[in-house]
Amino acid sequence: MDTSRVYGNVKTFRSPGHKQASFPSLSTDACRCPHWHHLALKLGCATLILLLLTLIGLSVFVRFLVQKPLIEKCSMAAQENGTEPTGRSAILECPRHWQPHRNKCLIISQISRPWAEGLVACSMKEATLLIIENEEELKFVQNILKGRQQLFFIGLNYVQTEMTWKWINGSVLKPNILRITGSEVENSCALISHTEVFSDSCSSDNHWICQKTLKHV
Amino acid sequence: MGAAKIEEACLGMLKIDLTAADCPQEGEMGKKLQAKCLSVVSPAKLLCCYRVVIVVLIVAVVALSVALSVRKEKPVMESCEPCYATCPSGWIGFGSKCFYFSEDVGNWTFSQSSCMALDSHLALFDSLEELNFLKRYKGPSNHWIGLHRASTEHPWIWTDNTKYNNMVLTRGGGECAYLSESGIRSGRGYTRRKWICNKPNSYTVQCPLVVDPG
Repeated sequence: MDTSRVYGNVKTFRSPGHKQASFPSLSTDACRCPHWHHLALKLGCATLILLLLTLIGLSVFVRFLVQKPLIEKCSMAAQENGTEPTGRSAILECPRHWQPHRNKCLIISQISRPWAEGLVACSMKEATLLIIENEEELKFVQNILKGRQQLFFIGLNYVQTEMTWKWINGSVLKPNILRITGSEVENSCALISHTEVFSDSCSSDNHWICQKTLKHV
Repeated sequence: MGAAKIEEACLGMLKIDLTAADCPQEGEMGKKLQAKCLSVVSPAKLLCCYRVVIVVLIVAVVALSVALSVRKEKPVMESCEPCYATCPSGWIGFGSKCFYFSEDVGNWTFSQSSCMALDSHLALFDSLEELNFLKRYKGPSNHWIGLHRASTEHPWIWTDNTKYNNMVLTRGGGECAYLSESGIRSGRGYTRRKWICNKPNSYTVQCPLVVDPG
């Protein structure tokens, strides 16, 4: 009886001992793994962020280098302003791009051509080459031309047969309005600058000034 | 009696162990197992993701660096090709010549004198390419060039007294030639225009060799 009891007790002792042995090892492994992984995770994150920043920096830099030559190569194309076809209006207003002055509208050409072609170009705008009627108008026109280093045909040419300068409306130039610098020979037309009026060959190329007279409808 | 007491103590000890071990063992076992499962699966996936992303980023960085170094090299080479950057300040190089476009205006004679004061002369051109360059660069104003004649009946000559070869026809009824957007035109020399000067190619220096022409 006594011996039998002792044997049973021994069995009970062994089985809990076995379980207990496995338990600590499991807990030990569980403790170690998470810690290591945690550290690796942090390191990985840091590396990731660093690479991302480097990538962004390089992208910006490359983009900058690519754009720089393009900017240097770029050249601005000059735009020529086309004038709108103008109808007469009841109100005393100048068409777009024309410069008002008293009862006139003035416009300066964008290109240079012989005098006769300037005359035609003006008529196509229902206008004529500029006719300066008094000293005040001369000053106004020359004031507009300040800053322009160019010469402009006006509606004044030399009539060889009459030995006199005439406006295109047929009236004779009065000496007190303006003085012409240069030759008085056949095929001479007047050019205006911001300081002077010259005589030049009518077949030379120059810019010109058109005028349109305002009328009531 | 003594042996019996000892046996009882052992039994007591054993009983206590059993009681303590069983309950916490099961509870903790379950929790630990769950944790283990999670830790085993998740880290592996995360690591895979990290590896892929890191590799991609590294490749991108390397590619950009290579592109950067390649691009840095090219501009250096390009800057050496046009070897006429030695034109004086304010002058423009084209081919083997330097050109100066004036800001002021003057008559033809004044223009030629101004060019001579800059150790040059009013512009002459040797080719259509050169002429087209001058036409493009001059802007809206017309500019005197180094072509003139004694009268409308005389032939055109350059300022160096060589005869003009009529490469491009001139138009207009004057004695002095200027450049308009339409081409070469002529007017009377006393009118005031801007002008173009040019220096011959002996004033330009080749890029690899720095030689003094004097």
